Amino acid sequence: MTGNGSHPVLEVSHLQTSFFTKAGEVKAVDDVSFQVHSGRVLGLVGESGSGKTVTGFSIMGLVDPPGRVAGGEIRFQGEDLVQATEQRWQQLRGNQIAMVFQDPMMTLNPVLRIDTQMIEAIRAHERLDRSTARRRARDALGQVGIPSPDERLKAYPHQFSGGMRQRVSIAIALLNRPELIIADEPTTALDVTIQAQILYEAQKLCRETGTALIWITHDLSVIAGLADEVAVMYAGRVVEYGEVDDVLDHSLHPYTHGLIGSVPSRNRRGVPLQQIPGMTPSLLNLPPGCAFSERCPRVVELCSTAPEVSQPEGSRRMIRCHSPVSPADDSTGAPAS
Amino acid sequence: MTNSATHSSPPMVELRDVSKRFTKTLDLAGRLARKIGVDVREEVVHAVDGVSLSIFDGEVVGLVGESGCGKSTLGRIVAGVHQPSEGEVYFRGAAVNAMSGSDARDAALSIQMIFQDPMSSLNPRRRVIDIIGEAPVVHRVVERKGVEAHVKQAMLRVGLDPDFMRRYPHQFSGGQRQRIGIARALAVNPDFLVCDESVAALDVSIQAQVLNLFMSLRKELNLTYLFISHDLGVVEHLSDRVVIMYLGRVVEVATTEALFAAPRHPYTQALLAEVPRIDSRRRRFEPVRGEIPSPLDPPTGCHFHPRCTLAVDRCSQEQPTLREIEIENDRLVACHLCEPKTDSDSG
Ligand SMILES: Nc1ncnc2c1ncn2[C@@H]1O[C@H](COP(=O)(O)OP(=O)(O)O)[C@@H](O)[C@H]1O
Ligand SMILES: Nc1ncnc2c1ncn2[C@@H]1O[C@H](COP(=O)(O)OP(=O)(O)O)[C@@H](O)[C@H]1O
Ligand code: SF4
Ligand code: SF4
Ligand SMILES: [Mg+2]
Ligand SMILES: [Mg+2]
Repeated sequence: MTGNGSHPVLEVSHLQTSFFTKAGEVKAVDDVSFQVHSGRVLGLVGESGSGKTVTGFSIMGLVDPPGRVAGGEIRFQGEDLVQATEQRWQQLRGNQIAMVFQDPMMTLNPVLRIDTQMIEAIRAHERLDRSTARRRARDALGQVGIPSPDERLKAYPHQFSGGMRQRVSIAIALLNRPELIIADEPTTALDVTIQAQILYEAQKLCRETGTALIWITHDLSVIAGLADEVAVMYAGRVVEYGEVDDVLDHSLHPYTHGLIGSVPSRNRRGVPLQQIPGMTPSLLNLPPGCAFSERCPRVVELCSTAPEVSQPEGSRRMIRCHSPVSPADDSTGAPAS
Repeated sequence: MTNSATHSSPPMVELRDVSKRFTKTLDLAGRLARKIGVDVREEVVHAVDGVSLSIFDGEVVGLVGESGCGKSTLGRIVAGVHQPSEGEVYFRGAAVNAMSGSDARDAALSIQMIFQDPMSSLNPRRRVIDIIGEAPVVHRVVERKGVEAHVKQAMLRVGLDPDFMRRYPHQFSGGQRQRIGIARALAVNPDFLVCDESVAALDVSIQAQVLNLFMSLRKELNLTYLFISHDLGVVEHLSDRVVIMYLGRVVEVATTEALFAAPRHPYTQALLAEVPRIDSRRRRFEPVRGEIPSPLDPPTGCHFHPRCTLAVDRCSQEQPTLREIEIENDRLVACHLCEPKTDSDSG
């Protein structure tokens, strides 16, 4: 999808992750495919419950029973992780693949000093003496824009603001120079100015170190500012996948189209917002065929059978839809002025 | 439209030099740390610091600022949930703390609040009919035998199916629960809604539905709003006038068009520059430096001075007063470097 010929750092194909509950099989991730390349950012966007976190957890090998990866491949540097043993996961996690969570306290231990936690995280994967490890920890704090990192190393998590805690958790993700970072809504709870600082550090990092980044968010505006490619999820599936400019300026899938249309800044002041009717269906009770059909303004008879992934002629995009938006009837492609 | 000089009647709500202080309790990380012997103390927070603000009939005023700057506290003071530590609140020209019992009751019913998290503000063990119908019965807005019709009307108004009035909150989706919260507020026939991050927890497509509901209710019921949000896009879409707060103080007020077209306070300028927008791609983020300072220990002088690229000596010593800068835009700014524009350079 990226045009450059290099091998992707991560290649997810036909990934299927289900939760086998009393009420039935919940297909949280259903036939999801995408790639991420070194030094590039893939935005994974969708509303709550669409399967973003479960996708991230699947790549990290963190899906717990009653859930499991039920099909497909997760190729990391060519190796299929679906087959990996728990021992192999422990070598990879926090080392070559790292995750940043929405709540930094998922990463941080409240009763340990930052330096203790960071030095442990390094020495879990590499035989380094404490002072070398400490130096690396300090550099990582500096890299994410924490002022006076030497002093801050001695602090406890509660002595940091929410934004600073999130930076520390990003610094921990960076410690072992991973090839891939998965960031799950890391700025959602933060303020605009702090979010901008973290987006700035993330962008810089990707460019300078060649780390591949998957940025999970529900916020299309963040994706617009940060990502190179975007995959839009709905009810466990990627419905549209392509380069950011293509997808945001000329969305082909009716769901993406509606979502972009409902962003307030895309609508004229005082005029009702464009809205998608209805609500996200329960994964246990999906309509037959296309999961979006009950809310879709373009629904046709064919939609009662599930659409396969296709690449519309003349586009560089993958979509899942029988009746895509055509550029001619595009009313939200350009911002309302 | 909002300029005070053009209003013949008093503002619906007026705050005069209102302040609110709290004693800050420890969060979980703080309590744990204290348990293991780290020295953490409880302190006094100046949540709202000398705010004056008038809101007129039929207006939608947006209140914006980063977390901890005092938006919710200010909203609660307006709604009568908090008493100010200093200063006065006026409702239709009368001081609220000097009102007689029945006037105070009318004022309290006239201003209703809608919260962020519909689940935590709705009692999970009560049916929708009781949640919506309780206050109107208690306050004799309707008689007990008329409550069902009243609840039905309120539910229809917010787009809920009245057949579901005997269900419990957990049987509704997030967007529907927010509608229950709105119906509960409307059931006492208020004139004024204080919406505190009322769409923040909702998905984009549901958020659009609820925002459209607020706007149609405004027209139908001639409502006035104080709309609190950290989302500038939402505020820009809804508001007639916008108030920007920083660390307990108002730093800029202006009509929405003027504020977004040409922010004047350095903080407003930084804030607007940093909002991610769907139309700005792979931008280079050049963020404003530094943290939001703690309201426990705010900087001297202008609260923004440690982060302000324009700060001069005076800024750390002297608090800038909020003063009128552009009369035609109802613009007030609290910055030593913002001089009132003369008519000749305002065209
Ligand atoms: N432990 C679990 N048991 C059953 N279903 C689950 C579990 N975890 C997640 N799910 C389901 O998987 C779907 C996707 O969840 P998630 O990936 O967290 O969504 P998102 O991150 O996009 O908000 C949800 O519909 C949720 O109900
Ligand atoms: N009931 C309270 N007790 C103690 N401190 C409070 C209370 N309510 C708010 N505060 C403090 O007052 C400041 C302003 O809070 P708030 O009004 O909630 O800000 P905002 O809504 O802008 O995030 C914060 O520092 C907050 O911790
Ligand atoms: S497949 Fe049909 S129902 Fe689904 S998004 Fe496309 S047009 Fe709409
Ligand atoms: S008063 Fe000074 S520090 Fe404050 S915003 Fe104006 S220039 Fe900046
Ligand atoms: Mg999630
Ligand atoms: Mg608040």
